[in-house]
Amino acid sequence: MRSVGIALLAYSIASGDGLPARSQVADYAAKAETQKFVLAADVIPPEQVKNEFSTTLVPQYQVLEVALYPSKGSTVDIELLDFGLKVDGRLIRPASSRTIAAMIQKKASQGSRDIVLYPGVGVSTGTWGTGTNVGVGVGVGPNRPGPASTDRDRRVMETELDDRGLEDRTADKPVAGYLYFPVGETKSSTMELVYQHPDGDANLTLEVPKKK
Amino acid sequence: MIRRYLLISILAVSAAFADKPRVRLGGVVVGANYSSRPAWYGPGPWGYGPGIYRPWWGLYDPFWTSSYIHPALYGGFYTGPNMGEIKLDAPKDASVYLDGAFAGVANKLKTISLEPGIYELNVKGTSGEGYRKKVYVLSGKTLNIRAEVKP
Repeated sequence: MRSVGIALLAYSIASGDGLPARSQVADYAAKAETQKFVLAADVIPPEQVKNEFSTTLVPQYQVLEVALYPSKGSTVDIELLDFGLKVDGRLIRPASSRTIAAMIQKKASQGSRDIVLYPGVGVSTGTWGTGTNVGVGVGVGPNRPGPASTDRDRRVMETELDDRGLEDRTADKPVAGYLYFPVGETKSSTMELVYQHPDGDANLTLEVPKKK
Repeated sequence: MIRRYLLISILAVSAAFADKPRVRLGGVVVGANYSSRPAWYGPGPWGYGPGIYRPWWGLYDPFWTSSYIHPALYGGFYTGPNMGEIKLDAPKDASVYLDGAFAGVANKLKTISLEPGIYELNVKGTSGEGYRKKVYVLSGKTLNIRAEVKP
């Protein structure tokens, strides 16, 4: 049964059609239970984020896989703004796919300039004799937009993040998805996922992945 | 005065994408010149190039007669602007499909250059087993995809 669940998860991630909740809550690193639901979460290590996403999320964003398992007969209204991440004394709300894509595109389109080297070798000859020379020219290159700098890129990034992200919805079955928190660099070893819901709050302590 | 210029300009360009400023090779220029007298008797300086670059002042300036091919005039070189890439690692005989259309055999499609967009990548082995993935291609980025398919 467990292997079937894992196979389904792998297939779904591979096909890119959203993210299914894992078959068991225990498969996540942390969980918290209220009367109406169980909240579970895992921090996605930066290396995995780099491999899974075309969008550049590392090192600016902490990506969390969050799952919600409603109790039998219950429904849960999920709103992303109910989630927060406590780290370094700050409470950070998840960023929307639209915001992330726009910021990455804006940064990339600012581009950068190269320092360009033009080495040269010359020889001159004539009745006067022969001379050789070498030289190196140094110039500043044109503004070079970075990767993912076009409007089309922005739409692709937005779709990618949406496809895999946790959505605002009403759930009566287990649901899962990624949340993208703009944490940036942190020296903390732990962080706390906070879920403030009318049916009960849930807090999860998670380890910050170590840099390799 | 008779002046003959024999000029060979080799422009080798590195054109990777990166976020940060970097130093890159703009081109290597090799030139030869024949003149009946030393060029420093001439009307020089003939210097032309990016900024202060006048390495052959008085002797030889390959850019003087070839300014139209000078890299600076083009503002540098890029390979495939606004294109993204998929580097595919799959069994060599596997068939590759993009958005349902046959794109070729894996051993001839090690690198696929695509416009930014979302594509349905399908890799099928000769046994018929397939690998399916939705890929998000962004300009200037390379996606490394390992399609594990039974040959």
